[in-house]
Amino acid sequence: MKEIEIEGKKIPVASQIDAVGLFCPVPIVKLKLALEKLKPGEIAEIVADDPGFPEDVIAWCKETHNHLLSLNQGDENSFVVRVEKS
Amino acid sequence: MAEEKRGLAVIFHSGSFDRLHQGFSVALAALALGRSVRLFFSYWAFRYLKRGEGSYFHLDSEARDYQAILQKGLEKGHLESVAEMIGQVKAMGGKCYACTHSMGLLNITRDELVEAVDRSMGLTAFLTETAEDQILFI
Repeated sequence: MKEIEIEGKKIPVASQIDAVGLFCPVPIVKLKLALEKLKPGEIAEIVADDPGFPEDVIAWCKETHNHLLSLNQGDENSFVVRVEKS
Repeated sequence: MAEEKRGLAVIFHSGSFDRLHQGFSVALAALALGRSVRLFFSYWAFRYLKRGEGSYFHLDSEARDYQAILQKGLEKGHLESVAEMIGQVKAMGGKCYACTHSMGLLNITRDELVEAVDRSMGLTAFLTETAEDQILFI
């Protein structure tokens, strides 16, 4: 399992989602379905290239009370987002 | 997470794929946000609920100029078919209702509809059930 470092601690990424090439709202739907399978505190990482994805994922996390850990530019025009299940 | 979220109700009328796809996209976004979704199929959208019509595809004149783009999107998996989107909505807890008026008009019985249909109902029942929801007509 892929691990990421947060404040010096190594934390596994419990779910990795590739949503490149998929249009709104499919990346968000995939993220929602992936988080359903995780336990609170576990982390999902999603890569998506829908231009609306950053704003959508911020709004989605706010409304569903999940914790947006990071939102970064990935390869080419993609975004890499990590979310912790609340 | 006990907060009551406003649900979404969509009345599908058009049978044009682009319209249905957009309506389903709104429905899936609502479901991802944890909102309830109820879909009501009438008139030309009704055909997509018929058994054996899983590959039915129609575009109205405005969308026909973009037929090649849409079909390429479907082939490459960037766009889902209506049948696939019905399956996604159902898997996420959405409801699909068949308009009784359209069933009578088009002479279609419940047995001819796909499993995904929860039940048939009239508009009064639908509006009563969705009284607190946002309603879209597509």
